[in-house]
Amino acid sequence: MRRVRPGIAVALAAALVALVSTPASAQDSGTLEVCAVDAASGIGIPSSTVIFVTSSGGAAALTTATDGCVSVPGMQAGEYKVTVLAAGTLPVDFPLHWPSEPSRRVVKLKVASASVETEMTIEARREKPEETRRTITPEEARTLPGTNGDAIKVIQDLPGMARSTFGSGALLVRGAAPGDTKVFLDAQEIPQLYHFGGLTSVVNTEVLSTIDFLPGGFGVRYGGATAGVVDLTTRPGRDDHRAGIADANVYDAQAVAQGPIGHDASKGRVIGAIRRSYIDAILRATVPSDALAFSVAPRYYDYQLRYDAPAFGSGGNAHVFLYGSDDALGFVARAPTGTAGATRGSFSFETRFHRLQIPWSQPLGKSWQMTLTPSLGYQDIGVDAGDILAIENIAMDASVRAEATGPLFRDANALFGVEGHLEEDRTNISITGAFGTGTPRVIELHKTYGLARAAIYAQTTFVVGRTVSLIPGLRVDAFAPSSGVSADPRLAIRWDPLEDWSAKFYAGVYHQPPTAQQWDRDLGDPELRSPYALQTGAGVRHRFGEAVTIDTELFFKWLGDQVVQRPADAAIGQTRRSYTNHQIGRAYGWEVLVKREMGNRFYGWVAYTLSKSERSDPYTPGGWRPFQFDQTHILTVLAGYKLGRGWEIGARGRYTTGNPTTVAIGAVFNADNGNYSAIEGPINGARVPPFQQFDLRLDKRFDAFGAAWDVYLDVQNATNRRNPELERYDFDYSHQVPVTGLPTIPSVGVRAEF
Amino acid sequence: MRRTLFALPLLLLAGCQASVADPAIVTGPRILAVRAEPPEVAPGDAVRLEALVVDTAGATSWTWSLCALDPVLGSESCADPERLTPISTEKSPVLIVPTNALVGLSDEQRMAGVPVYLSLNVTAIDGPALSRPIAVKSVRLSERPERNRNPVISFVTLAGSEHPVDVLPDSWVTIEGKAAPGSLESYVDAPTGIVVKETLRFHWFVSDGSVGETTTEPEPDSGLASTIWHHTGAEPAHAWVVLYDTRGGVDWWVVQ
Repeated sequence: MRRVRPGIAVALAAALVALVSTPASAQDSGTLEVCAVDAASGIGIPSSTVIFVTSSGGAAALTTATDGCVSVPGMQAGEYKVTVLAAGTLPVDFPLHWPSEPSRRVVKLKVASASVETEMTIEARREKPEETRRTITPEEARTLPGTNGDAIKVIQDLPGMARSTFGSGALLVRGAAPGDTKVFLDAQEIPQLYHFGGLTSVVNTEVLSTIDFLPGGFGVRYGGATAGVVDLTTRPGRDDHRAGIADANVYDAQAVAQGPIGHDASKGRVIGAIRRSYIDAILRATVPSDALAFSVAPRYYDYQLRYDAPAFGSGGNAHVFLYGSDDALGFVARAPTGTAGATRGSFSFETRFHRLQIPWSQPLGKSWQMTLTPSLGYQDIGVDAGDILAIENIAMDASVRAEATGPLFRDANALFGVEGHLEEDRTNISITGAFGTGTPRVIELHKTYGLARAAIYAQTTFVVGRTVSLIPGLRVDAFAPSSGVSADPRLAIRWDPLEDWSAKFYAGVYHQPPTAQQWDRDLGDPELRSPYALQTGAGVRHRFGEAVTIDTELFFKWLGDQVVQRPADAAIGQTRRSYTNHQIGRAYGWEVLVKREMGNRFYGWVAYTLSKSERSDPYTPGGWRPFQFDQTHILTVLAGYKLGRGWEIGARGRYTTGNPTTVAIGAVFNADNGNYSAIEGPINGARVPPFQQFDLRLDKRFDAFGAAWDVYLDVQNATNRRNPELERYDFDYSHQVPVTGLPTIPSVGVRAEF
Repeated sequence: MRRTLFALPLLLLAGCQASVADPAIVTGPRILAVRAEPPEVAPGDAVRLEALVVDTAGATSWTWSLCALDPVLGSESCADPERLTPISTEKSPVLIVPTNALVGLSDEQRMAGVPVYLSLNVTAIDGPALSRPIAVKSVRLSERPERNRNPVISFVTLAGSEHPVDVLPDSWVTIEGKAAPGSLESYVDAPTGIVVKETLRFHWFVSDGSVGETTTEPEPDSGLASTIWHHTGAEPAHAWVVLYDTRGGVDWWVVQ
């Protein structure tokens, strides 16, 4: 965004900085950007006055540019009071805590013209120079086409993320499997990101402040993942007045309420959200009733409730965050499908989780900050399939993370942290019969696992010569019951030679423990080692003016000790496959993101990934082969335009190479069960046809009845292209049967903020 | 495992999409079933092999072979000629299991038994070739006293009659089959020691039209199962009924 009067802004910011902290600890902690935005049109209000007052009484005033924004570089840790004077509105002020860690924050004030109603959104963009961190704010993601207002779904449109089959929301990062990427919410891992089918996320957009996608090269704060990380941060409820949001579309309805408790939030503040789907009605209307009979109406719901206590002690903060999700689906497949491997009968799928987190942050002295995040969780998954398979998995866990951040000495910041995780995992599996063409099997398993993980990590940021940052770090993880220990050294270097140019390089080791089942003495091998990835990458970022950035990066990953199933060796009496660490892999590629920031009218981005991901193991002939989620080209073009008078239009186009697949080159009749068994060609030797989709969105915003309204139309797959998602076969594998994705789905929604 | 489970609903729903062919409609020469009598034998016993092959036009030649099955690839490995040892070209050969077939195995392994895989290759001599000419059948060798037996179809009725009937084109008729008492056996699963009751399943095949359910599980008490046949052609039509148990036991019935 363009700054007006940059000289004045910098001078005032420098004066402001001088008023904040002691010279010994004076350190650039990032950039603040304040925007005054008209709530109805979404257009910035120029020439608004922004006044900063420090806790020591110092003050500075800045003026917003033509886009309604003003930037303040060189921020320092401390407490501020910020007042905004926009034409035609009453003054708005809010407190601002600026952390000691390098960060970038955007404060957007949505001002309803000529009224006292003011909406304020504070968005934090932490700049962790050691990481490839692609940040999305709910504000800019909410109206993007194809998301249906779900900001978290936007990470599917960023470089490094491959498209998942049926858009299921599986996180396929840089040629890795879904389980290799972890999702964190307020520093704690959460069990799932999306409701079944990937239609929407399990966390309401309105309770989030930032959505960070780290496709690789992330710092030591994150462990247990060899691919990437999705890091979600929640926000507190408003402290100025009570407000609410109601939103309903084709898939679900949601409500959000927030506000202070007591006068001036003297008893804290709260934000709560709840969502319930009615996808059951859609499926009933679109799936033939003679093929499926629903025994449990497919539905999902989720909830989030966050209470922030008033600040206590010497600047301490704490909040309680309770959230959960529940999905259920059940049906009876009555009619024959005629496809190979089809199984009929009753099917049901249920999953739910509930989590409680109580983060507490406390300043330690003048410059250090301590954060403690304990959490408790419960998860339950149940699957019944074809009257043959029944699986129930119940997991309960307790976790804690403690971190301290602050300056070690001049030009050196440090991060120290410890993590602990205890989990009891109960699994019951019952198989009685044969799936499709499989051999009839009888399996009754009742397992209870006790799992424990502990980690300690440290990282230091050294600033060398003002333009170079060196960030070495080390993370050590220990796992039980395997008693395995892994050490992950990581290093990142960032170079900022010019104001608009930056370059980075990183290399690191990332370990991920095997699953409980892979470690199990009966099902797997307790001697399994943790698979690891050696990640390295280099990138350049350039900003064109104030609104356009280009970010490009090369990456390479070497995957070692990957867990793979080994065929049973009848010669030594083995009757089932076992797991080994004998698979290796490699993934490499190039990513580019050209982004036009959300400004007055036009915004959007082009994201492109060129990559290759391969695996090799001694049990599959042919040496290196494409990994099952390898997608050579992944292109997303996304744009929006504010037409004025509250109208906004957006479009998204996507192209991805089809997933590798193994074709059947023949079949034999299995006379033991009357089905056919395929004779397969080379493993992953062919590909599903490419995926192409075009989505549209149209918004109309207006004020009425004391609320800000947004009526929107989100059309997914606007051209009704029948994208093949899978290749299935006739009953005897003589003909391929494409399984196509969803047709055109227009979703009309209404959103009201009051 | 949890992440795998999350993908199940989509995969299950994906399986509901339409296909291009109905496995119940027999439009060309095809192997419909292979039977070993008995399906589980002890060393020294005899076992008869036979197959239900629809050869709608022209003659066929049959080759039975022993198959050294690849446990990784499964039954499809028996399509590899290098894994086959031809044993007979008769349509219904009788094999004698060597008395020393299980020598060297532990008592537990001899009780659990081992499968022997057989391959049948049906070649058309003067008619259209079978699109899938190879069938793989296992015969279990064991020394347990209660060995598996083939299920038995007591009768099959077409429109309520056990005899050939006249069915008008474009009409709906019921095909009903009955599994004989004793077809549904219980057995001890060797690795787990769990007592398991077999399940039975009728597979329905017709020469034209369509059927309602291509496979049907019989009622536990009566052993009865049925499907609806939409007969469309004017030519004489056939129906074939095959009954499977979950351990590879087979019986069949042909209706005209």
